Amino acid sequence: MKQRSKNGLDRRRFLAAGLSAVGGAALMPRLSYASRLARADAPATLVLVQLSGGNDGLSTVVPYGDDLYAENRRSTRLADEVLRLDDYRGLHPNLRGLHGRFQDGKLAIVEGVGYPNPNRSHFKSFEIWHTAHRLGRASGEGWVGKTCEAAFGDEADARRVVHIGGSVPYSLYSTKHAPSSFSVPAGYRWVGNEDDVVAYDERKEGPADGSQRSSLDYLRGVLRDARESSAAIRAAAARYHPAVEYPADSFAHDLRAAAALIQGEIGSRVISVELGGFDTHSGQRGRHDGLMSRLDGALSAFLADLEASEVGRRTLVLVFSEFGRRVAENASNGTDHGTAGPMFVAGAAVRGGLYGEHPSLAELDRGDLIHTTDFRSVYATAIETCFGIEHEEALGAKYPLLELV
Amino acid sequence: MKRLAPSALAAALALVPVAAAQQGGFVWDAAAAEHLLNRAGFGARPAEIEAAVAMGREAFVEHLLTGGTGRGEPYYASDHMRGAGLSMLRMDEVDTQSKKELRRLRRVRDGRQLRDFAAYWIERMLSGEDPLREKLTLFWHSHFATSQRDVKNSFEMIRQNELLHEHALASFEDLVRSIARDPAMLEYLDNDDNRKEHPNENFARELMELFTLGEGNYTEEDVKEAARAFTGWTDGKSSFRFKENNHDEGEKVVLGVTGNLDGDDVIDILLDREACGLHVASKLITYFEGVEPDPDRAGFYGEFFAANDYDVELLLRRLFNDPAFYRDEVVGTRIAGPVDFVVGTARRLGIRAPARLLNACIGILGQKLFEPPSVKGWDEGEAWINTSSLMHRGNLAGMLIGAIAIDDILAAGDHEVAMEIGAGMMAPEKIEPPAESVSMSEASADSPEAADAAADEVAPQDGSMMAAAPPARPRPRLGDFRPLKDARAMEWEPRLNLTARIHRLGAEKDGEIVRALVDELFAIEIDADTRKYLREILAAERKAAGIKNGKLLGHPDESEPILRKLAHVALSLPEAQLH
Repeated sequence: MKQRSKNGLDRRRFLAAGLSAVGGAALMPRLSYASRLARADAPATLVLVQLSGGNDGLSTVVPYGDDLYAENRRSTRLADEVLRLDDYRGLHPNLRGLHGRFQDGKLAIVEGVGYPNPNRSHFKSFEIWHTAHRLGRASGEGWVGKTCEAAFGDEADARRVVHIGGSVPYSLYSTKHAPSSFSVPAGYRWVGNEDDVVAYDERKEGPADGSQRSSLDYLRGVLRDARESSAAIRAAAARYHPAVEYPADSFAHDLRAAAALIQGEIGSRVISVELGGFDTHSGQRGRHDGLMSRLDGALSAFLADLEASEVGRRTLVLVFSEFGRRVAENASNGTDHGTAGPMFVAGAAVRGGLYGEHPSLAELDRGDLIHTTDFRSVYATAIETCFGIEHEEALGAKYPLLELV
Repeated sequence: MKRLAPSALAAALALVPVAAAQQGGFVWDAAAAEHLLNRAGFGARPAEIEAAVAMGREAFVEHLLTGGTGRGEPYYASDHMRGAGLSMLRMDEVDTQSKKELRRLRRVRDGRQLRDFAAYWIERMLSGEDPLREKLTLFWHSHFATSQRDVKNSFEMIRQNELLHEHALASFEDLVRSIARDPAMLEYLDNDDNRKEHPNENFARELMELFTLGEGNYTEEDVKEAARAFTGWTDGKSSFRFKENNHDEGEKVVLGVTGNLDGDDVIDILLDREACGLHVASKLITYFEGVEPDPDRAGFYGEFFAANDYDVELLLRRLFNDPAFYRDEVVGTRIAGPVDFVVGTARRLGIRAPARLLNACIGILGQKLFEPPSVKGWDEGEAWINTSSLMHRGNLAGMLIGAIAIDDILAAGDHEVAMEIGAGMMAPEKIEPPAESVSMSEASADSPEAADAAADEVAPQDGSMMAAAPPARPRPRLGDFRPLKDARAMEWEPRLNLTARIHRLGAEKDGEIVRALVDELFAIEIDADTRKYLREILAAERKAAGIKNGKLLGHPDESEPILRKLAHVALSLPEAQLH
């Protein structure tokens, strides 16, 4: 008989105090982090992989051993084909590369990640993830911006925070530490008038009277950042030699460009990429299967590529989505907006395994999973690991750390 | 069901603002007229500004609101995906291989028709014959965002655009009721799958969150209950259909109102909420002013809008006659969106570029018409500009004025090489996707705009669960620049004569030339430092050509490339992104 419980506590590397994010769990001792940070191989670059649209967590880390899973899922149900992690859970069958990494102890899976009073709007929920604050944009800049402010103060660098792809996520929004962004490194330039445009005085100081920054100030800041990042990014891409072959889709291309920046050591500390299409309200199965293979193909290549170089090994990769999906399917063989979902954390420094706790399929909040780990615990861990600062300086509050690095 | 009658407040509110406007004592001059034309239209030509000033503010506002010519020649759209357009594509008479080919042909025609319609729409924007209506159509396209990527039917997308165009200035209530029955919307937000056994919440949620109330003004329970009210609202053969059998006749509670509610009842309930007027009026004001209204102003306009039966024309008449619309914080401070920038530049300079080329530029800059990024539509303002899009604005503007060639842009990004490699990616045989999951590549393989995405889809779709993605050469990301390749095939060349234009304005010396050029190019005033910077570039180029200050325009062969280069630099600057 299959198990019905959220099992396997012993398999999970919990902190001594436990990580039920509902209560104020004790902080782990800082010492281990401080000593780890002193090491030359500590992660220095953070790569954020955003799965947009609300990834169905139950089809990603599948609780195939739970009868309630089978009861709730028909068309999206995965059973024997899952790549087993244990008797309760398995990875989506297309996540073969990531499953191999998990077995090699190189992939951390944090289960049931979410936040209190979950918002089921894509946009509001992304705002919450992007600002690490329940108020979203109303709370101020993106969490990466806040982190850079805490770690680097006023010392801005246009190459430090980079988004590869289309529209820049709000997580990178910052007035002082604004991101650079591009899609094609070689085309990231002014054509025909570069020398003239770079001579433009963008009046770095901004408004002298301390009045609010105008849209013109903003545009001048972007021009400055473009000027300061263009040549370096193009040079890094030109010098780069991938250690592995990447798949041919644009998501893989973006991760490949991320690897080029890392290998080029141009000072990029946070790199963001996005894979969209997860809003599977109807006909989920085929679409989600395809997305899982794209994620796996590109991410596996990227991680293998990173492992081949010393700077590459000093990279921490976080994979997240704005929410998971409802436990029960809808009438369209799809799923509606839900709450908690799993996060992947990868990189040479990561101690693979399961973290957090798989959310119960029995105790639901109006048909939705109840989160077991606050996403800000994962952020906090990444901030301390990659930037060597206390995470509350960036996030404005303390969260229990995960011992996954 | 009809909404409650507006309160007597409406009449009172309608009177107050005009009085306030007159007390404001602001001047209706060329600057004010240009400001209004920039925001309520797509940039202003000098003659248009003169005419607007001569007409006087209130008369000109009236002209904008009611004097338009509509679409002129209407567009005939045929339904390639089914119906009449398919008479030669009888699916039941052909073998499997031919079916695939026929499906592909259908998609090709469908994509082509929508691109053609986009060009038609842009031509309407360029014409300046009914600018406000087109501007609002664009606003509603973002407000009721619907994407061809999901709808996969140009006929329905065009029908929706015509719906938005027709109702653009009329009652928001009619617009909401129509959009809730619009086939493209029903498909985009899955309401065609919303049945009583398993309600699909997608439409009900966005109706509350984005279309009417705004986030935070309803509960999750309201979403679930409202979704039940819209069960059975679906489409068939590109028209609205109500399927009674799929409709939930049970009792529902939405925002405290209990009853056997249907979709129209829910819309009634939403329109009666104070949040609705506030949300939609604030969004309109923010769109036109570029800054969010303060709470008092938002509250005033929200109440005004709701009390006047959500009449958009009344709201805008009030807004465009409001002194606050012309305050310093607003004038010249809005970041132009890609449509504003590209169409505005083409209008100001009289660049006679094919609308399809302009459409390609607009897409590259992040505003692919008929493919908004999400149901939230396009984020306005600073979100338009990042380091990459700022550079590309300069590059594409340079191409449109003939300072650089399309090939220069493609070569810089190695896009041409990318396309040669990428071309091979489009060919592979695709296995049919599972039922209900028609892939993106199926729908739009021919659309240059979607080609990259389509190529992306190849790996997962043909792989299904088993096959690993086929090994392929890593290739650069083509997508966004692919439309330029098409544009290159048009062999278009700009017919711009900046020398004659500047000469006509009486400019001779460097400083005068810069002043005249800046007036022509920019929607805003620029400061002395930027003027000086441009003058220095001009002087350096002129000297390199061995021409004395004041004599440049007498040497058109030399002056034209120099002026184009100067204009190219100017359009690459921060100042050129504002209006």
